[in-house]
Amino acid sequence: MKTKSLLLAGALLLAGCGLQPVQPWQREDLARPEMAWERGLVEEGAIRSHTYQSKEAAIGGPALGGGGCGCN
Amino acid sequence: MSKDRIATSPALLALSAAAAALPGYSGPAQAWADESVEAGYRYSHYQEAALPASATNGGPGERYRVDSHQFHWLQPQGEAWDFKTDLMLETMSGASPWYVAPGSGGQAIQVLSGASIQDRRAVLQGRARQHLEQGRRALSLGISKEDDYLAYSGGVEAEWDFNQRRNTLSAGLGYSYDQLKPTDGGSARFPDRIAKADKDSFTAYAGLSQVLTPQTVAQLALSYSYSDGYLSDPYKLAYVDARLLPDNRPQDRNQWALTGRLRHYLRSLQAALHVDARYYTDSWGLASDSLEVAWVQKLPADWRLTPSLRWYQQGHANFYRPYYTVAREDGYYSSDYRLSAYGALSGRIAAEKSWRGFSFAAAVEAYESDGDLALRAVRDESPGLVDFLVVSAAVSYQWSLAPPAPRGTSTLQPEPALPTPVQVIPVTP
Repeated sequence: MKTKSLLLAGALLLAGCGLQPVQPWQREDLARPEMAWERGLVEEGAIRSHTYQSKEAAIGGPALGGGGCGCN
Repeated sequence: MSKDRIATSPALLALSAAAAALPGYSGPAQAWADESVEAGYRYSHYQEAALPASATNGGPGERYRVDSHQFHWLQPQGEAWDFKTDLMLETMSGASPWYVAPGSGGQAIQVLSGASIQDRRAVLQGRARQHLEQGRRALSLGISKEDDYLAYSGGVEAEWDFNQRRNTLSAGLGYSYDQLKPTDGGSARFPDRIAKADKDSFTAYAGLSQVLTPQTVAQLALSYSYSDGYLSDPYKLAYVDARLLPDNRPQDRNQWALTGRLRHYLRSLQAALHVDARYYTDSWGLASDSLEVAWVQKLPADWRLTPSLRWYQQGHANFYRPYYTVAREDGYYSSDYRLSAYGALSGRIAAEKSWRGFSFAAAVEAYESDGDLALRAVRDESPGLVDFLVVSAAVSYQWSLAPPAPRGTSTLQPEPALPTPVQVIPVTP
């Protein structure tokens, strides 16, 4: 599974290298709010991550978490 | 490049604004040359479903509920800085899984804590961020306080845009010091419960995003965390050969996560497809996979509707058992359902409406966990797996500050016909 994930991720980025470069005037859609990495108001992503992390064993992602908790 | 250079062409202004608001910059509030103050509030109610009577020791099986209030403030300062403050206040109550014992037929029975837990949590976090010509860097500090828990955290993060902003490299380093003082620790009632303990946690991550097409951007990130100290749960016990022993886990843990994210805009439908995937593994022998797919649909009158589906599965820690018939040589015991193998599926729907400077949002999420939701066959499933429901509502308000006058140049205003947000920003010569 790990190997497959790595291969898939690598292929995805390599595919980007082989495509025509996207020019600044072609980025209107990329700049739309619907395309943001984190969606939702008022740190919605933070509280969702906190909820999952307090009930699941896995943590980690492209951001730093806040302080820990003694979650029951 | 001089910051005093001002974009003079309306088309260039629009393009620069669009480029500055790329997803790699994590949202419109983070485009450099921010000029808006943002204040927001979110209320969330989290409720765990009661356990079925067949899985418990005959009690009502009522579990945890949490009410959360989040307050958010983003304040730009000058051309290059912004400051973010977030406060979260939570109240928690209900019963929590205590230990698992074998039933008369050998089936695992979850015993819940008898007395209802009452706790409060306050989290204050601040971030100072500087916007640079080719990226951003930030310093974060936080404190989290509960009746029996105190954590201090801090971190530095940086993003670097290159290849004409087709790529963004991001990285961060974080540290947290957590101190526990369990209720009734070392008391006559709970002599085996520790009175005080602490742990250190270090986190590092690095990620790379790539613009693939005019409608597609992807990101790949690797994160690592090392924890050292007391990593057990002071309130949980393990049933070991007819004895109840304290939950006891290794004193250190290495955790790795590989995350992939994809955003694709479908212009004909005015919608964006979000795909987030993660593979996780740690030194306790536990591995997990998660996949979330969301559809962000723009609707008339500034409405936005986002249904999403998240699937998660994990294996069990190598020392986990629902209960132990024989003692382990290494002395590690935990029957915490969070270290059990299982799968989980959650469905969520969120609606958002913008009106003048206000944004309103509401969301509901239902989460269900079960051994059958994992791809791999689950043995020794915990009887305490959790199902929960979260409902939340949020409001935020943005208002503009007067743009600072460019140094040594005349002030140029964008033409009204340009798409918003359009700002007077520097461009590369």
